[in-house]
Order: sequence, then structure tokens, then C-alpha cells
Amino acid sequence: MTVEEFEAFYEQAVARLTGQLYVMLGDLHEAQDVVQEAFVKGWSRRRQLDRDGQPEAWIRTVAWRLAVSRWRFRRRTSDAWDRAGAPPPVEGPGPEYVVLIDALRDLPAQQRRTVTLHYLCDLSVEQIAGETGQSASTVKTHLVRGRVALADRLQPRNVEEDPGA
Amino acid sequence: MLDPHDAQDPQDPLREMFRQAAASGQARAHAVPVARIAERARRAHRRRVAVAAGAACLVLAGGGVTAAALLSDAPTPVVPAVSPSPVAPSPGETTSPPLSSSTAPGTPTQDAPAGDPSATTTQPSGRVTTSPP
Repeated sequence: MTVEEFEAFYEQAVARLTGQLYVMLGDLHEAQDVVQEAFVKGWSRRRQLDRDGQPEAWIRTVAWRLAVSRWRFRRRTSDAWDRAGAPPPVEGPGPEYVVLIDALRDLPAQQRRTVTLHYLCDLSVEQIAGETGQSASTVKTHLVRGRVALADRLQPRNVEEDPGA
Repeated sequence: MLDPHDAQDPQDPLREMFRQAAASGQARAHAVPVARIAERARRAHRRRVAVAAGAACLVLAGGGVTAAALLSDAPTPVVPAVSPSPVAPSPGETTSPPLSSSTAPGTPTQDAPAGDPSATTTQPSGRVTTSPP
């Protein structure tokens, strides 16, 4: 992939990938950061992006891994703060509050990723298995459980919004 | 409503919710210019190269120090032993050290016993001779 091709790829994919990572992570700023970081890494590996033939999947995977690394780091930092006796940070509802995003935050991370790849990125079970490194049966399990969990979480809100239904 | 078996349905309301959520995030996201991405990537590359060069220097320096330390542990050459004095000290003489090591060959000794008319000299061979007055 040449520099010009990478720039064109960035222009047409960055917004879409940010939206996908936003759904996966539930935090828009976090999604922007990790997508940008993934593109920075991808710049140095333009030939690898070209060889794989799925540059968007590569960026998405790297961004997800970066987000997971940040979660782990923050958890360790939070543990350190707890040990030091500092009060834990209290997060209020952000302006990016969305019903689905809020429901997705309650799902396990890997389940959330799998569900998003399926429902938002339109990937098949085999494609999800290839991108996430899980087996096809695990992907199916995540999809079924994620869908049931979302149904449990979304149903009361829908009832509240539409009492006559 | 959310039956797991209709996951492939394009009109699935859950799928539509996902798309709306992603669209809301996509609309509020602002992408940085690609020039900044390239600049950050070049900076990271320079940093990696600098770190690699520093690590290589450290390895070379460490190897050199280790090699020098190993080589300095080799046995040092043994200094030749000094030939012992031919005049064996008598059992009664315990205070005066042997003079052969500090006396130049052929020079008269300074601590000759008083009253002794003869002068004592030390030959290069280490033998002590007494010459008549």
C-alpha cells in the first residue's frame, strides 16, 4: 500500500471504524484514540496491510487490542489507587449516552465485540472467528447469549417508551 | 422480538439499533488529518530506531566490559624470587637484617663493626670477602 493509498484508505475508513469501536467500547473518546493509534501503527506496516487484503479488519483488531490494554492498565491503576486509599472516580452519565450503548456496557467485552462485529460490521460467524481468533462454536455462543442479554436489558426500556405496545 | 435465530435478518431491529448507535458516534467523531497520523508514525519510527541503536550500544559496551573482566582474570606473571643472602644469620643475631639485598655490589658496607681493622666488601657473586688493612 503506497502512501497515497493509505491516505485514501484513512479518509474513507476512519469515521466508520470510529463508529464501530464506539459501539464496542461505549466511549467515543476512547474509540477515537484507539482508532487513531491503530492507524499510526498501520502507517508503519502499510505493506502488511496490503498483503493481508483486509486493512479495515487489521485496524479494527489493533484498535480493539489497544483498548483492552488500556482497560487492563486502568484496572491496575485503579487497584493501586484503592490500595493507596484514594477515593474511586465517579463517572456520571456522559453526553454519548445511548440506550444500546448502555446495554452493551453490561456485556462481557468479548461478547460485546462479537455481537458488534456481527450486527454492525455484517461479518459472518466464520469471519468473526477469523478476526477474533475464537472458534466458530464460541462465536455462536457469544452471539446467542449476547442477543438474549440485550433482549433482557432493552425490553423494559422499550416497554417504558411505548406503554401501549 | 430478539430471537437469536433471526440474526441474519437485514430488517432485524437489533441490527438497526446497532447501526443507529454507530452512526451517532460516527457523526460526533472528528478525525485528525492524515498528515498528523503520518507525523506521529514517523516520530514513533525514529524513536524505535533510537532505542534500538541505544540497545545495540549497550550490548556492545557490556560485551566489551565483560571481555575485559574475563581477560584481566588471567594469572599474572610470577616475579622472580630474590636470591637469599649467603650469610646465614647466627642464632644470636636477631635484630640486624641481612645486608646483601640493600648493599650495592662492590661497595664497602657502612655498618662494619667498630674496631675491626679489616674492611668488608660484598662481591657481585654475593660472597663476602675481607681485605687486610
